[in-house]
Amino acid sequence: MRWRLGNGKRGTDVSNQVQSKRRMLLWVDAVGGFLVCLSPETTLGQALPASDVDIPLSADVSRRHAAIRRQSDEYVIDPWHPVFLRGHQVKQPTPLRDGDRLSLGESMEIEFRKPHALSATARLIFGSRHSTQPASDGVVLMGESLVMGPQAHNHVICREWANDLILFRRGNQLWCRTPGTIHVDGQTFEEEACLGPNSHVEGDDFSVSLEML
Amino acid sequence: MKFAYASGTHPLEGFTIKRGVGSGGFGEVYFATSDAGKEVALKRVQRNADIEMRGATQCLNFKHLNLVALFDIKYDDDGAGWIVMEFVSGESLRDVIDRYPEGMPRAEMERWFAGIAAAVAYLHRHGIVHRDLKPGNVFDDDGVVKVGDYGLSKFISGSRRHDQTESVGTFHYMAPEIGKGVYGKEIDVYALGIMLYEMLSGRVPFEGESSQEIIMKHLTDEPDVSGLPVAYRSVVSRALRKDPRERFATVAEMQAAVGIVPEQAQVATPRSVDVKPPIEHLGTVVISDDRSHPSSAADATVAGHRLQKNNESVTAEPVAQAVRDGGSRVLEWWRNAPQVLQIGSLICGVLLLWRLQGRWLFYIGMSFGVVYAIYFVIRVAAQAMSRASQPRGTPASGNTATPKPPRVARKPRVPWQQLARADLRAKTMVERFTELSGGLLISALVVGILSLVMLIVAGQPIDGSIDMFARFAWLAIVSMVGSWGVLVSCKFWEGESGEPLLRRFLLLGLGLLWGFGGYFGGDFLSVHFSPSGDQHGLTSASMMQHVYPESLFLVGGGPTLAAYLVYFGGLLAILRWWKQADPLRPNRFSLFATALTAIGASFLPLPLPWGPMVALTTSAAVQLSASWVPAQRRLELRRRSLQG
Repeated sequence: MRWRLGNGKRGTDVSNQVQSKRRMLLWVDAVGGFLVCLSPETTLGQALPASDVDIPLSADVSRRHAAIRRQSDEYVIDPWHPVFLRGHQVKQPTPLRDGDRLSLGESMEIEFRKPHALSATARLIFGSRHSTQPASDGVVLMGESLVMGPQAHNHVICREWANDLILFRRGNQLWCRTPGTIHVDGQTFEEEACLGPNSHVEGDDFSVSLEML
Repeated sequence: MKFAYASGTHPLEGFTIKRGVGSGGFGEVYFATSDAGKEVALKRVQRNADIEMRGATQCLNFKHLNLVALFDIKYDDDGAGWIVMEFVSGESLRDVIDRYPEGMPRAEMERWFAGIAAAVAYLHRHGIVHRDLKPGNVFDDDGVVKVGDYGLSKFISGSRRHDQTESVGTFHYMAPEIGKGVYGKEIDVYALGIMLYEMLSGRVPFEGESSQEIIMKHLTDEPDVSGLPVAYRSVVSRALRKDPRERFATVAEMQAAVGIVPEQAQVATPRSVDVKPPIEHLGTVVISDDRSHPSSAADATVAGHRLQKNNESVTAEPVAQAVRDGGSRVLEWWRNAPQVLQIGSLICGVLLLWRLQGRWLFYIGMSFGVVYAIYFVIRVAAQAMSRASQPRGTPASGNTATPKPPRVARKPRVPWQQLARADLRAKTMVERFTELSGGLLISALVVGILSLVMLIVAGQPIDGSIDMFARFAWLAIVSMVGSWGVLVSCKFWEGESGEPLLRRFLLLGLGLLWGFGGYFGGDFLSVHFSPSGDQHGLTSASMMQHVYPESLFLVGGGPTLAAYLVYFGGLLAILRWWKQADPLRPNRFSLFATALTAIGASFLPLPLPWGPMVALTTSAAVQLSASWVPAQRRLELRRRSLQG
């Protein structure tokens, strides 16, 4: 059985769905764990047992602190509680630029990166010593594709890898692509494969696991 | 990199594997969570399992801030051993070194070295040799240096030399005697030396294409330390001696040689002593619970810079105490008072002293001193007698307070002044020139005002006569030239704490020039000082004439050119003027320094009141116009110095 994003109807554009909680953990062996948010809108707030935000932060922030929205190729931060950007408090929805440093509340700092010019996917890096709950090494706001590989403009940087591994949406399913042979959950594919909610992907020099939340 | 267990599997009951982290010499390491959500690292021990486990068991209860904590040892259904460890999320020293191919910043290097050395010292004190120290085994966990992979195989060399999967890098840190199979703590000192070399230069001292080549270099080659900063060359050479007996005998010795106070990464103290983290310190103070060697050198922590006074004042004398308290209150007020008030009270004080004719104060002070001396002698004698009459073993009255333990505080690793000096050195010529020109302008203004005040205070007739104006002009111009000379020369010295002798010599030269100027200026303005003409104050002329050679004085007692040269040359050369112009001086304006300058000047051969007047005006002008690092900046620098 294949895992479906969205509501199950084939051909639905996932990026237009304003549905929260569409997230997964991306475990990259020997590299790190990343929280990948698939919806165009993600909410940030304090990690509490009953928390329903997309990015639960182990930080002194409000229960629902802010939202980051993807609008076409641009990201906009919508603050509900004090958010500071470029030295000023943000009071209304404000576009984010690559390299922006956001402060949430008094102590939480997040760097916003949109490293690849051709991809709408962005990365959030915790500047202050904070993390998400469950812990991750970073957050990826995934647009159409997520590129893992050795170069600096990749969304997830994997220094030791020879090639890129690209996760991408096709219809409302998640696929992966890389030059050469890939093994997904014990089956062998050439170059492309469709992924399930908890797939394990292996290549010549890498292994990656998905964990749907 | 491939791992035996994929994300989501449960090879060990109670834990879920999330991802592979890396592969060490003894097996794979995974990031996993317990069923309750605790994040841990799991190490699956594949090779030499028995020996591994024995080593890990020995270290299971070690506690040190800089060691990766071991939580437990478990066995899975297949009988394979797993070590449950603290998960360290940050990058390894390997990553950091790779980021700085020319060597990492000094402060960063010291932080890493201090942490690693503290951990290794702890292991050594507990009888464990790490055996596998290398940058890949050292991590940064939220700013805390953590050493991992300790307490493992005793047969590291045997198992590794034949291990084909092991990268060549492992051999870079191996001491030459490991091949012989007989080794001890010295191999860790050797590895520390290699790591220090690598942190400083970005590369290891012995490189090679193959493991054989590297091993051969460890055995025969001398490390080339010429590329390292001079301060570290001898430390590295000594740590890398081929003969283990010639290396540092302990890690503490090596830490001292590197210039790091042992256990600087954290304060470690015996648990029995009640230690409170001093609130005024900004760095994290962590108390380790190592009780086993409270007095060992590596533990001997950090002498506090705010050591609590021992009860030395058991017999505090009430009068002296009151005077001291009053004095400190006045000082406190003085420090916080606005500058206008400070200058105002200074002028009032001088005026009062002068009007009271000094000597009366002297007589009053003397009589008070005599009375106090008699009282003090009687008090001491009475106390001695009362103590003698008490039975032995019981403390004397007033001595009942139990001695409090010294408060141990973290010592700043770099004094903030040093950081500030670096800032000052970094100034551009333009910045320096701008500051200087501003300072010179202010000093001219200050001199103008003070000169007039001085004339009034000195009781000079303020009658609008040409003579009055001439005297004013002389005092103002001479003081201004003096303060300018000091300001200009000190501006060039502000970046260094300096060589006093050289500075004095240069100032002496300036002073002599100043003396010429003063003499001929006075001549030009027809200002002449004859002590007989002044009826104020204690005339120094007769005393001066006894002390100094006659050639300095005219028949009437007035000063000759030689006296001017002695006065001005002496004034600049004897006092440490650069302290008064130093941007790092404790207060912008110090009454004490000004008073000292004036008092010092009154012993030089220029008749009263002119000598002290010139000195006082110059000193005040220098201090009020020289640049001063503001309090806010000082606080920042202190914070930086504490945080290292």
